[in-house]
Order: sequence, then C-alpha cells, then structure tokens
Amino acid sequence: MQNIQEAELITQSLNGDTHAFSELVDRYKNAVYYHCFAIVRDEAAAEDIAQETFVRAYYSLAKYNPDYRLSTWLFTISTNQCLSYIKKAKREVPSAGKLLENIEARNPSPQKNAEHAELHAAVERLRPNYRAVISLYYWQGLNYAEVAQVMGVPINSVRVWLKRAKEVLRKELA
Amino acid sequence: MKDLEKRLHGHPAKPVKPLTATFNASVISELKGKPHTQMFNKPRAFAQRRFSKASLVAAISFVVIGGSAAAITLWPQPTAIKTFTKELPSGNHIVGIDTTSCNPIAAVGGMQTVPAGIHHVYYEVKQGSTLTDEQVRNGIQASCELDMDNNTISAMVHANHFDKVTGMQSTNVYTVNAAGNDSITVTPDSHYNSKNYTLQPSMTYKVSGDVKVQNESNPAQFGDIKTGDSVMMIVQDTSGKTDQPGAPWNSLNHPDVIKVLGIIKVPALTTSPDVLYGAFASQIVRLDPCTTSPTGFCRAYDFVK
Repeated sequence: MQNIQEAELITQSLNGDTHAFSELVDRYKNAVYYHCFAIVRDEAAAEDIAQETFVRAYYSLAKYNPDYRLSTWLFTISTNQCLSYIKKAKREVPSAGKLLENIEARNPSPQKNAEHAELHAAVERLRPNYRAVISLYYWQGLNYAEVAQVMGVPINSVRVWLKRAKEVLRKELA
Repeated sequence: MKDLEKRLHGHPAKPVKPLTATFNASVISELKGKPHTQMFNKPRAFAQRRFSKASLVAAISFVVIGGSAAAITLWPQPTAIKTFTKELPSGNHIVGIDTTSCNPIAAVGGMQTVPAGIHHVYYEVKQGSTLTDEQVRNGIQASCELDMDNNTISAMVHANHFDKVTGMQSTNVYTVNAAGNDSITVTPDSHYNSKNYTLQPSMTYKVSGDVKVQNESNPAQFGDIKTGDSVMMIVQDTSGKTDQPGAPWNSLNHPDVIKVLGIIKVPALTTSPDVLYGAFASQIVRLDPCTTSPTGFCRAYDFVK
C-alpha cells in the first residue's frame, strides 16, 4: 500500500531521480539487510546483497506491481539473491560463534542470552529456504500469501516449510 | 508449541553491525553509472488496497489509546483546503494546501494517532500543466480519506485477529449495488479511475452468518448494509494462488475463492486521488519551506526533464 509520499518517490525514481530512490532505500534498507542476514548469516555478505537488491530494484521498478507492498517486492529480490549467494558460494553458515557473540552482546540477562543463542544456533542449521520463510513470516511480519509470493511457491509449500522448520527447531531445542 | 512461536516472534536475527554510512551512496553510485532503461513507464497509479501490518501497529496503538476495542472511533473526516496560489517568475505557480486530521506526507503506516493541528503542504505546478489547483486539492483530500479508512479497517483486523487468517486482504472502497440475505454485490467507488484497477466492474460475494460488520466504528449487523452504502471489506483468498510473471492474480475477481470476513461501512470518497498521483514529477513537485530560496520554498525533488 502506498501513501502519497511513497507514490511520489516511486514515480520520481521511475523517471530517473536517484535522490527520490535514495529516500526509498532509506525506508527499506534495514529491513532488507536484516532479512539477508537472517539467511546468509554474514554481515558483510548481507550488506552486499542488500545493495545489489536496491540496484536491481531500481532497474526493474517499472515491473513493480503496486497491488502489493513495495517491501514484499524487495524481499522477493533479496531472497533470490541470498539463496543464489548461498548456492554459488556453497556456504552453509559458518559463523555460529560470531553470531552467538553478537547475540550475547545485545542481551544483558544470562538466561535470555542462552535462549537467544540456543534458538539462533538451531535456526542457523535450518536449510536456507526454511531460514528465509522463518525470517519473512516471524521477523518481517509477512503473511502466508506474501511469503508465498516472495518465495515464488504455492501457499501450501510455505505452510509445509514452516511446519517442517518448526519441527526441526523443536527437536533441536528439546 | 506456543513457546516456540513466542520465541521466534520475540527473537529476530539482527546483525550487530549497522549498515555502513555509505550504503545509500554506494547504491546511488551504481545507478549513476548506467542509464535507467525503464524511464517513463509509470506504475499503475493507485494500489489495490491490501492490509499492511505496518498499519496494524498504528491500529494497535489507536486501540490502546482508546482503552478497548469498543472505544475505537473513526477518525474525524479529514479536510484539505487550498490556502493560496503564488505565481513564480518561471511561469510555474505554487499551490498551498492545509489539511486537518491528516498528515498527507507522513510515512506509510506511521500514523499512530489522529494527526493533530493543521498540516501545510505545498506544490509547484509546472507552467502549461493540465492539472488544476482543484485537482491537486482533490488528490490530497482523497489520500487523507483513504488513510482514515485504512486505520479503521486495521483496527477491525486487529480486534478480530484476521491477521492470523491465511490469504487475508482488505479491499478498496466499494459502493454496494445490492445486499441480499447471504450475498453482497459491490462496485469500486466511482472516484477511482477504473483504468488503474484490475477489479471487474461489479462482483457478488457470498456472506456467511459469522461475518463481522461495523458501521464505521460501531458494531452492526449485515442487515444494516444497504444499497448505496460505501463499504470496505476484509476477505480471505482461499485459492492459495499467487501472482506469476506476466499473470497477476486478483482473487477479488473470483468470488468462488473469496470468503468475506468483515465489512465496514465507511464514508464514501468525496473526490478522486488518481489525477494527482499520475501527475507527479511531470507536472507537479512537492515543495518544502526553506530559507535558501527567494520564494521561501525549495523543491523536495525536481521535475522530470
């Protein structure tokens, strides 16, 4: 859904105004960055992919369907980028120690630290597409239909992936 | 099970390192190296209304302020009034508009309470533009009315937990053509420009006995909805289908897959937003007050060359 300002910015960007596009980048860059980090688990890679997402979005902006939220479209681009990155680099999330360090730094309570660390270590071990749907549904606030649109799969696949992801997490956290 | 849901919701994966300060500059420098290949392909000007979780945040705040779901009230009808026109040496002119109960250029989903006081917005209209000052005012007025409607429907979504329903979405403002015992026939509000929308001219949807109905903020019955009323609906797309490349899917054109969850009687739109939205950049730009220009205003962005 657009408001008047976002509609202006999109129109400006379509007409080649990079200042207007920069304002759109400002609005969504953190969400895209966080989502990429949730999938690739590497801050530098997540930032690179977030940048590439916005560059691709700029050149494809005419294809954006305003029936849907701009954020959903950006998540579509970034998710594809993240999954390609993992596939190409054959990376399966090497930085567990670093991730846990980061989590500990943010949470003062030892018990909460442990909960965060345990959960994220388990999420890290999920398959990339499971991590993507966990991020989109739980952390980016998309509904099933939107997650399905982002992932390019039927809603039922999203349901199944989330269910299986949670089954794995339950076993890991038991 | 609930514990896992709670833990997932409560513990997003966030990087510790913030984005570098040069993030935007890096993106923009990439763009400046290559021309835009899709210039002048404008998007369809107005979005089919879809429920936004960002708006839900606004709605939740609104409920809390009111004290309970029953205390949700429709926002006061917003107003947009043209306050002045000022000719510029270039031949362009400035239009000033004051709004009440609305901040028309607030960020999407950022409104948590009724915007207080008067908001001033200014636009520069290009010489020779076909856009009239009245159309500028109308576009602002319509945008404000849609913001108000969205806040109201978001409150209903929250109060009834419709956000947990798979395939939930909300509609544009419709006019009721007919309301039977178990069905409703609607057509998009006449102020929308039909060219911008993919909804068929008139659609009939089944309505079950458990549908939630409000007359603005007040509880109501389906029998209270009459021909000629303006409504927005919250529906569930049960098809499981999504957009495919080159084939956008609009479930609202397929009543057999639509379950009507909620209906809210809302004020009809009083004017059209479409003309203003279609003129941005080519005929009109927004201005901000500033001290660096002799006119007292600086462009928020430039006209398209």
